[in-house]
Amino acid sequence: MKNKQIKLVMLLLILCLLPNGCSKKEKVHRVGILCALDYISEIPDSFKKEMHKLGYIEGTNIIYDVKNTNYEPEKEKQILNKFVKEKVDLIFTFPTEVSMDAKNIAEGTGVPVLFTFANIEGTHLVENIRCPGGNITGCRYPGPDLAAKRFEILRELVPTAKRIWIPYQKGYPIVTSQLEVLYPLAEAAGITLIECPAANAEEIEADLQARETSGDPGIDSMLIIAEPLGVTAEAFAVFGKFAFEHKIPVGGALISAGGYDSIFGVNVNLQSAAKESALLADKILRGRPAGTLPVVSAESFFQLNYKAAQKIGIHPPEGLLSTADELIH
Amino acid sequence: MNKNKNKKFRSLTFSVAVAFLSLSATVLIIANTLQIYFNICTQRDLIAGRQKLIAQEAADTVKGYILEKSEFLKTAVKVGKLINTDKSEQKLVMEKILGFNQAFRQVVLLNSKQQQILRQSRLSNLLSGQLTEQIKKRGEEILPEVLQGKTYISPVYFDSITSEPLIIMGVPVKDSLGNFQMIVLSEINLKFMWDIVNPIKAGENGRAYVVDSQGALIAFGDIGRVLKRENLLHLKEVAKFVSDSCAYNEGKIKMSKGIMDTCVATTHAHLGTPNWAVMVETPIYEAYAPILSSLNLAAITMFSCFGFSIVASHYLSKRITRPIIHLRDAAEKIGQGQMNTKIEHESFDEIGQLAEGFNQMVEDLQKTTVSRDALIKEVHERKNAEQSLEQTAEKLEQANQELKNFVYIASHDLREPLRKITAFGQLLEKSLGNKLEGDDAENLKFMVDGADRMSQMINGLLTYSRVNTQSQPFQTVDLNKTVKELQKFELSVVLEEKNAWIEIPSPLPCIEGDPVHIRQLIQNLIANGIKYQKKDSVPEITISSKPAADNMVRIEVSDNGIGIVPEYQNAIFTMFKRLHTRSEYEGTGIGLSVCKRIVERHGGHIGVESIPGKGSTFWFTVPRAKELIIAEIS
Repeated sequence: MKNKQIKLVMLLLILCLLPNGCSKKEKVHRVGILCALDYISEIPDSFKKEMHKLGYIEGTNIIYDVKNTNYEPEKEKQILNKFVKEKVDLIFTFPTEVSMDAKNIAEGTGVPVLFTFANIEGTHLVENIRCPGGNITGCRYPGPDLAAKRFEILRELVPTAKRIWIPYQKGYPIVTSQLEVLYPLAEAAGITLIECPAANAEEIEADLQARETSGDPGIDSMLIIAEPLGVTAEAFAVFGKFAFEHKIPVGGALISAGGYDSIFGVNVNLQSAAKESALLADKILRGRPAGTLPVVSAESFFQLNYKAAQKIGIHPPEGLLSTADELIH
Repeated sequence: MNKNKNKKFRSLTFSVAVAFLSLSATVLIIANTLQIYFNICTQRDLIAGRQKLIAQEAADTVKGYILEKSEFLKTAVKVGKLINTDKSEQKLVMEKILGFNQAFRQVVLLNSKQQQILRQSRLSNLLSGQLTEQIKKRGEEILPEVLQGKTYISPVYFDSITSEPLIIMGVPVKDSLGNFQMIVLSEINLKFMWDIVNPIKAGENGRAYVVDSQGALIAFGDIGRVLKRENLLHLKEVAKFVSDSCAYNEGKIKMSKGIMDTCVATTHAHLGTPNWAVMVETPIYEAYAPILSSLNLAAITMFSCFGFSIVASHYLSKRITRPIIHLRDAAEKIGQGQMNTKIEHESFDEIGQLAEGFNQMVEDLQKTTVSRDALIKEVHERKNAEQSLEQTAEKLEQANQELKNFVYIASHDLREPLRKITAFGQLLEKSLGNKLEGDDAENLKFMVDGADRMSQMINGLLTYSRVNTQSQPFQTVDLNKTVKELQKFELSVVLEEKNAWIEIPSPLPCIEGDPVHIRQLIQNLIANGIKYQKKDSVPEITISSKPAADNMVRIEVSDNGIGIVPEYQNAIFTMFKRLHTRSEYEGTGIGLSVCKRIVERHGGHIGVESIPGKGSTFWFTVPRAKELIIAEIS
């Protein structure tokens, strides 16, 4: 009789525990984030906030492994390999070059890659916008268009400029596509583009030093394109100082470093990019193949530093002021 | 009866339960079905109304978004200096339009001949070419609209690079006199509409999306599908809108496959201008949740009621049939002889009354059975007594027979030595003659007399015993003839000696009897009448007859003898009973006993009526002759 009662109690306990035991435990997603550019280092936080809005609570159902580099290709590859080895649920990378590395490293491993702030033109990052293919998707950075837009705005701000100096990271893949856009525009406008490929700030400094010593800098304005070197504080401090000393307007990407400011920036809205990326990440984590999710385009964002412009005697026209998404004054 | 035996037993309890259950189930099913039907109708209308409302609100929101852009453009061209001014002024106006909202991607100013005067873009010039192509493509449809003072809104087209949906909105620029001067066209990026469509909720998991007049998806929460430029014409509701966008949406909810390939309840609201529609879909399980809930409730109610019906039917059937089963069991028990069986009943309804009646019946039956039992017992006792009596009679008869046999044998066997004694005594008396003297002669005489008397007595006994042992079958006996023969033979001597005469006043009847015994009977009675006479009296014997009851006849033999005192009239028929000494009247005391025995053998009675000193009348009854009886009957 006692045995029967014990068996009955045990059966009831098993029945009570069974639903819990059988219920699917909520998966804790692991996302590897690699930010390879200090300039856009606010993206991870914005991304996390957007993910939080979508129900991903850090430490509860999602764990982020955030790595920051600043154009350090080897280290970045190591980090990406580590992510792949750890079989993270998603690799979220930015900007372009590291996204390309991520695509290559993760290819065939089943680890999806989500990029943002990456230029897809000329990089073969995706097959096409509507169907990226592979196991990758992301938020597109309209590099050539933004380069052209930066050029147009710079011209509008400094209509007299005939020589535009363009510093960039030597060998950075998306530079070429931008230059390919800029050269025809410059030519049409009778403007000379002066390239300054450099490996680091010192090389930029050396270039500018050489111009200094020659007596004529030979530069009417400076244009920062989408690449990692021009937006580093070290590099900008070098050419920002030079520009300020020679009353040369600097624009393209909004940046302040060493007490010097650029006068405008046309970029994608980082928060918007983070939001779009979070929406895509949500779909991927829910099981949608990344390669089937169309690439979204981040909206461009025009910031005008009216104050900095005035410092160097530039008065932005009313039309530009009207179209600026953010006016700093 | 046999037919019924062959039939399979059908439980009344089961039948009653099934009947009740069937009835309950039928009522339940009908009631629930009706309730569910009306509930579904009501809920369906409610859901349709709610969904239509959501769709209409969403449509108003989307329309408001477009109208806002349209109104802004109209205001900008009214306020801004576009006519009779230089390009810088015009450019400024256009830049202000661009700056108003990110959705304005590009603005183009056309003259009255639709030639491009100026273009401003948020994009670089690299990407501005698509708008130019669209303007060229749709030039013919733009102008008529704008000339009428209306806002032109182009069909949706997609950005060749970003795949984002775009439209061109155009407003006329008129001078102060209202004359048409120019057109301002703006390319509007509809991706900014997504943010207002996405939050539109239709219930918990419902979706809203916007399609254009071609069925192309232009706004949806999953922007990837818009970017893929999906066309949703394969969805019924979308196809319906595309085929007849002006048709009145009657607001009825429809079930079909939705945008997520799931079954949904869908409806749409037409924007009018632009020619788009907002589709609202609610997953079927959610849309019909109240119905499902109501169905669940109905099902639970129905099953509960059904369960209750089962219990109730079981209870009621038991309640109805229990007394009947008790009746049946009781009947079986009574059939088995348990007459003290009673039915316990709780109810006081018809069944209770039936049980009461049954109990009463059993009680009565019990009483009857008790009486019957007593009767049976009595019969049984009587039978036993009868049997015992028969056995006793048999034993008595046997003993009697043995006695008769003994008497017969004894009298028969004693007669021979007695005859010898008598014969030799007489011889001795003759031979001795006078040689004996005194007492010896007297003693010898006594001996011979004694032997002679003993011989008479033995003969009497033998006669008595022969009545039963040597009887003849009954036959018709003519008493007249019998008396005549007696006068002629057995009584002739004594009649002559005594001078007696026999008178028969009327002829005697024929009777049914043993002729020998009847002859002996009449002889004894006549002889007695002659013998018991006063001295010197002439015996007169009269024989007469009278009818008696039961087909008997009474024969009376009267004499004029000494008569018999009343106290001895009954005793004279006892064997060896003598009223007189031998010296007075000769005799053995056996004759009347023999008469009595003969009469009794014939089923009759014998008696005497006598007046001492005057005479006696011996009477007896015997059966009449059968022939006479038959003759009378016939």
